[in-house]
Amino acid sequence: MKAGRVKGLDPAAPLGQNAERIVHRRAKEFAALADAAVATHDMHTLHDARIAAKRLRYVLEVVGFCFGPTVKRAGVQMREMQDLLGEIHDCDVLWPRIVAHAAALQNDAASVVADGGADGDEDLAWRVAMRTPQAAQAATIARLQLHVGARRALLFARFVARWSRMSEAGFLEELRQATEPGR
Amino acid sequence: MARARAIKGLDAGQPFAEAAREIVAVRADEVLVQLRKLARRADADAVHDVRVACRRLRAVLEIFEPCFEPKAHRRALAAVKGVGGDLGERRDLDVQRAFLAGLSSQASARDQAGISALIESMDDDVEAAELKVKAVVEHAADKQLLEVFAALPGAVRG
Repeated sequence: MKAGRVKGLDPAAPLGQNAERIVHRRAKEFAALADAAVATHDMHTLHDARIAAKRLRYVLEVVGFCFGPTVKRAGVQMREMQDLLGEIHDCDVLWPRIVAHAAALQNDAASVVADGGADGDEDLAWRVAMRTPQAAQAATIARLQLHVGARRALLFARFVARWSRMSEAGFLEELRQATEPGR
Repeated sequence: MARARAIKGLDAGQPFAEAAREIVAVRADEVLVQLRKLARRADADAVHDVRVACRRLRAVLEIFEPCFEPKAHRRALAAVKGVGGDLGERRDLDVQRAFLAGLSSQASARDQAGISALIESMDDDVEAAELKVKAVVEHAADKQLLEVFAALPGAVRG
């Protein structure tokens, strides 16, 4: 996801004045994507929210000093959010590999059976299929799918709970107040 | 993960463009430092640290865009995206293999064999990702990146 351009930045104006616009824009981007991810459960939206969290965090690392402790706390929250979203992303990236491996095992087992592994059993008895070298591995991969799927659901629920708490506590409004001039 | 270097002497009242010059110079140097570490030892941590340094540099290049000559800015952004992207596959594989190894240590002997087979099935992808890491290291060594990043402070307008 491309970063949104921050409008109204002035290279000649003070850093602090521009930083206010930047922090608010990046925080709004993250909040909108986090809301959308909670609403849609969409993997790509979650990924975009993770990138938005990184953008805000890394911006706060360089301009956060212009503001008070609320902004510093937002940096810590973004780091935690980034870690959590990163773990969900890891599950999402691993999942298709596990599915592909399961399909490969199934194909290999079918080849073994087709090449005479069925012992002439036309209907392929259960015990014969389970004797293929792939059967034990396929059982492991099924258990792995169960684990990764459950872990992903757990992490997502954690994300929803964390973002709901932050949102209800006025994450955006607090940041806006903490960065506005004359605070 | 490598921590971001503190940027000393910044002041909220200093001109935005001046801050851009100082901040981008530090973040660009961090990328180059991490690339040199990667060239010495291309392990999982080194790959991760380069990617994080790239992401930090990208974040500041994006906000300081109005302060830079467009051509130099575009070149730097493309360069840093390229490096981070080229290391992405290796990073994903490192994370996956470490995660699976962690699960394997808790599993039964039979499941350990199945998980090991899954890890081994990644070998071709690992090999392809290694080639990309090697290309990134060579690219950094031939000074192209150094030139792109070194040009940034001089490309600040005003």
